[in-house]
Amino acid sequence: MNVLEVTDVKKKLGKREIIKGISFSVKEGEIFGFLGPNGAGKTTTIRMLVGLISANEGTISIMGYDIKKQRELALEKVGAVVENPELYSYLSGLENLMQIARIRKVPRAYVDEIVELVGLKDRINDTLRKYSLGMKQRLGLAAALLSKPKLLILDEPTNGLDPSGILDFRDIVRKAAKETQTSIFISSHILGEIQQLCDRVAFIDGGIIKSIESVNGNSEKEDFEIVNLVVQEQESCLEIIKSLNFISSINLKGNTINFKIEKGHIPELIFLLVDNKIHIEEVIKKQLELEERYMELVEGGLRA
Amino acid sequence: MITLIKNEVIKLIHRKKTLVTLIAFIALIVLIGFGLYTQSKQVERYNNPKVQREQLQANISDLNQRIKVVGISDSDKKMYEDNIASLQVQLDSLTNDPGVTNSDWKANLNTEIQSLEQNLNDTNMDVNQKGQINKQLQTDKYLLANNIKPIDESKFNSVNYIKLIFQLLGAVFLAVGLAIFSSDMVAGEYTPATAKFLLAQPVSRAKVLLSKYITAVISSILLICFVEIIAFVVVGLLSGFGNMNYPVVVGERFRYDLSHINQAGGHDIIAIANTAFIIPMYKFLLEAVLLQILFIIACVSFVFMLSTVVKSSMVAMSISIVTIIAVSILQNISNSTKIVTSYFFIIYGSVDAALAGDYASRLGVPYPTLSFIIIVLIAWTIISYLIAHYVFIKRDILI
Repeated sequence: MNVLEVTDVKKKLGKREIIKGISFSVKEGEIFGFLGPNGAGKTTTIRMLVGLISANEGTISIMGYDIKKQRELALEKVGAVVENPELYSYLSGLENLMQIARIRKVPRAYVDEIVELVGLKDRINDTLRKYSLGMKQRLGLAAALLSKPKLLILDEPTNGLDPSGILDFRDIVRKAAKETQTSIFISSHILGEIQQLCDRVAFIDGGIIKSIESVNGNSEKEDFEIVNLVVQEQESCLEIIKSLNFISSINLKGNTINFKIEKGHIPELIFLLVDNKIHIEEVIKKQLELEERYMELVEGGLRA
Repeated sequence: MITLIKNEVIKLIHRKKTLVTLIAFIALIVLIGFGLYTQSKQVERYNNPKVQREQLQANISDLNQRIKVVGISDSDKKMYEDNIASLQVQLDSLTNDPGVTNSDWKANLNTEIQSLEQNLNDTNMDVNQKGQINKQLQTDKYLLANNIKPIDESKFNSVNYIKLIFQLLGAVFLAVGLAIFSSDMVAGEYTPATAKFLLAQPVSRAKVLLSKYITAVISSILLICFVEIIAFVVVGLLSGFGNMNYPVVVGERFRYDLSHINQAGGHDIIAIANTAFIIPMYKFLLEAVLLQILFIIACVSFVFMLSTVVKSSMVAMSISIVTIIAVSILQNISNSTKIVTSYFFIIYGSVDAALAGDYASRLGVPYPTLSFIIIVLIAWTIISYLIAHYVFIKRDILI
């Protein structure tokens, strides 16, 4: 069953058509990435998903309920953070959550549980004014998780989080997705984030979805990997590499040698280099697929 | 719905603005009380026979000095001498029966009634003056018939205090205070953009708006009435509540005076004879409070509508206050602007004037009777809410 079903949605703001007919669906338990540059229509789409703005054409249904006709039922199982989570600055973190908990009839004990989960237990009674951006993000996530959502909608969720916050965030999201079979719709312009979290990804630009692809399946399809190599004896190394038939597309960028290598041949290459007394400083397997696709679809090709 | 209202109340209580408006309002009420108290002390002092005697004697000796000035004309001298004679008569009456105003108020009332009735027989007097005299006559007769001692309007007691509060609040303070208090009921959710969270919850927007509206209206009414009741009780306990059966003249009606054409080429309005009637003070106060509540609701609805439409509490507040000022200016410019403002609820804040029927003579048109004012207030309330509702339901939340 599809948790979220978007069909031929169009949206005009003023005279400009921001969304020019998009369709996609999110399955149960799936983490769906929504990738595109600033101004591509990501946030506009999300606003339509949660009923903040209404689509001019097309339908959006969540758990089988149309967002226009059965708004309350559709939003019952949705938790969302739209852009920066802005909550009531004059209320405490807890009261902010209680505002939503009361509307959604969530028991107080569960609120405490969620507070613990997002790691805000110590500061939950402070007024929001005293929160850092990262803490606000966590509180926003907590607010979205309160309803035990079947669909969690996150808009640029790691904005303002520090590196450990980003790691925590990923853990929380993965945990939620696995344990409760929550589907997650996550928009971002940060490629790494999408690649690490998502099962499938939609590329959006100029209000059009250019392509929807599965993230992990994609890399399995390819039969070679891209490797960056830094060695001390560059010239003799190059000679060896050029003689190998499982390596192609060799490039030299500064002291880095960049090439394509057939899958499973990296250990073989390293043994060979070591045997030839070449001192290896660095071997990096590059996960370029998503970035390449992004550039191809959104920017019209790889940058030089 | 109850949950939503509870949420709104919690938000309202935690907002700084709520506390600030409450304190400002209390300060204003205390200030009005202080003003009335000072005034009553002055009047009391002036009414003291001893002070009056001293005053009269000082005036007489001053006039005597002037007569002695060399080169004074005969006519001036004659005038001064007449003045001295009349002052001397006043002084004698004071000396002869001290405390007459206190002991024999019934006799005084009788004398006043007689002289008023004589005045009424004067055929040259214009209709409006006659109306005034008639009202005074009604009051005096009522006092006499019900054995109620006349009380000075400036005496410091609860009844006079609350009447003054109604009068002053209604002029402009109430509307401005409510504009400040309720301007961010809806607009406050846009900066910061908390509306995003609230409206992405599984509740209908209509319910969200209605809960905000109910919260704004009820808290405004409670805030104002509560402070007024406290003020009433405190002053009552300190200096007496005043007579709850004291007569108040209300409900005077007017019509166009078709027999005369005024300078502007239209007709002035005149009081219709015997339309004013007397109600006891407690009834007057009760009606005044109810009317004030109606005014508060209309005010809050209007500001609430602005707050919904313009999305910025500062702008909503500014527009409200500018409107209040503009209307009160228009009210005094010309006949045509007066007619325009007569349909604007903001001018009907002086509930005492509304009950008395004074708005007709203030605006120079006969129709602003109590029932007209009530209809205007209710109409503005309903229209404001409908606009707010329609705008809020349809709006794209883009913040």
